[in-house]
Amino acid sequence: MAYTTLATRTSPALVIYLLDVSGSMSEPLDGASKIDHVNQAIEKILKRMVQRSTKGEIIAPRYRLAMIAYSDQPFDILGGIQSIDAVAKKGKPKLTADATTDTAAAFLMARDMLRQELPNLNGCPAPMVCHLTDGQYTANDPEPIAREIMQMSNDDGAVLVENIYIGPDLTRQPISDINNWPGIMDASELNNQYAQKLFNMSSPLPAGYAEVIGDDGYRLQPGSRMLIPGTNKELIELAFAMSGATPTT
Amino acid sequence: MPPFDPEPEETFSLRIDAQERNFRALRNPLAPTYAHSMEGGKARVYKIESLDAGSHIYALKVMKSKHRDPGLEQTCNNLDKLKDIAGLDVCERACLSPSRARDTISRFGNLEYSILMPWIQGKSWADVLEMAKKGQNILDKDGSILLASNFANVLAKLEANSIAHCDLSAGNIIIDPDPTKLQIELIDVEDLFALGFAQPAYLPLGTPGYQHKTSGAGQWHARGDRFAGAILLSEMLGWYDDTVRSTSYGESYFDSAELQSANCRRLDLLIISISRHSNDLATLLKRAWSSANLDDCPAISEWDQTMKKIRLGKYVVFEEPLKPTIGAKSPPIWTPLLKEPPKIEWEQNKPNLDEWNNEADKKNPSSWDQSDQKASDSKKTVEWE
Repeated sequence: MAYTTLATRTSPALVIYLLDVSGSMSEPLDGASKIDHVNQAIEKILKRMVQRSTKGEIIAPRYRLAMIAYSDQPFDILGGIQSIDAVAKKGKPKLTADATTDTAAAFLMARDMLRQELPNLNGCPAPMVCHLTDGQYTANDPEPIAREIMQMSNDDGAVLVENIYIGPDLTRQPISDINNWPGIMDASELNNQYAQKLFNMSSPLPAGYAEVIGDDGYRLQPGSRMLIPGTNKELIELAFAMSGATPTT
Repeated sequence: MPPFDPEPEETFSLRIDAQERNFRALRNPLAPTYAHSMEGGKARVYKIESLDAGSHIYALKVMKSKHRDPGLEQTCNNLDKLKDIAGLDVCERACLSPSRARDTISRFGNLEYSILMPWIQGKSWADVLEMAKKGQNILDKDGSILLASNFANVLAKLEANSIAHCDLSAGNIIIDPDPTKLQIELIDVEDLFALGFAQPAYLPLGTPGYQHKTSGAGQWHARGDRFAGAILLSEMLGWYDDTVRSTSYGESYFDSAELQSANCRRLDLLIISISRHSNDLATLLKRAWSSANLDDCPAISEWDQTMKKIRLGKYVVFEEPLKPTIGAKSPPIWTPLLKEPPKIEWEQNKPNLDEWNNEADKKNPSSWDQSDQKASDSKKTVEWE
């Protein structure tokens, strides 16, 4: 059965973050700048990963992370894929916003990382790419590359792609109760054209991951798309919680 | 209301039974920008220090939402009665139920049915397994038999009283920091089986690497420790052996998929190293491995008696018959939570700020600078705090 491999020190989960840090991310949303919300959400998910990896006096390397911040070009801010214990020692990253939005270049970097990693990832959970953006790309269309990534796989399943779209009023119905929101099942629930494109670039949520997110008090349904409209701080937090939802022991 | 999830050194108060107690969250020594906390399947556990009259270390176990069960209050009351049993210091506890901690729960909703208990100091058996991956070993052959016999002794006393932990795993066994004693304390006891205890809402299924093939149906009964106990005892008995350590799977010696399988190389290696202590011990492992169910597994008392005979032949004369009563132990190190327990040492590594300062990559605008060195370059994409 797909997506059942647990993240352990022997079979760590690989998560690649693609983070839009273009100039528009400094614009306000829900009482703070978008980039401030992102920084807080990253801090929270790193904390969760450290907690899930800490066993007594040791941090077991249950997660391996890459973080690619992109504006007019992508930047590998961790210097390659790093295990969670190494990332934890660095501290808490704080991103700042600048320049334009070349989303395709960021997805290309992720694809190349995955090509290098996948031959060594049998027995590990399927990798995940978590992409965050607040707007339309300004260079090449990233969708073909995202779809290529979604076709890549290991023995646990196809690479999962999650998209977080930060901005106001992205859904036809406002999401009033985040804790009981089942997620997006159909593109028609979105009233923004780019959000609908991101829907096609997002994987269905596996059942085991829905259960892990359920531990944090959310009710996302298995099969809902891994696309979160980040219209406020709580939804951005939910989105990052999803990125860390690979089941562990 | 915001959830309870403190930053390192953050102070807070808990009001239990009308008494206000002040604490601070301790820093994770391996990740100093994070509080020292661990997340398992049912809860997150925070290491906290009391700020009232002396510094004492506690664990605050914050249950995940679906595990906040009103039955936990009675479970905690029942567990507290077992705190004088050897290996069960952690049973001393207070449950933050609505009847005892309404004010605290109104400030932090996720603290409903959380549990305050002593922090059990020492390395876990999981830490020892992890250390081996880095080439570190704490056990020679004598140490292996001493540790295993101490562990068997704790479990045998529980078994004699129809008590079983029911979720034994490497992470739930804490080894006394005194390397000459290697005494054992158990943690994560909320699913413990004892006569008169209510069945938990979610039956314990065991932990990968320590599950009998029948554990998927739940193992909440007096024999719930037989298989996991056999595997853990065998790990301890074999851990002096370089070959065993180097072959270990990861977070347990065995890969969960190979447990109870035929032609298992790891089993063969472990049997060889255990046989150097005693063929009888190796036989016990083989019997556990081939058992059809937990009733079939050797009782823990068999392991305990076999190891006593080995130690009798080697070191000391034991004059301690196994009686069907609650075993006596040395005076408890903890007095009731609302009085002042003795100070427990805790080594706290201060963050080494020099290690965090990396020279910025001139081609990459991201930066690892400390937060008080704000980026003056407007192109800088990331700072590290």
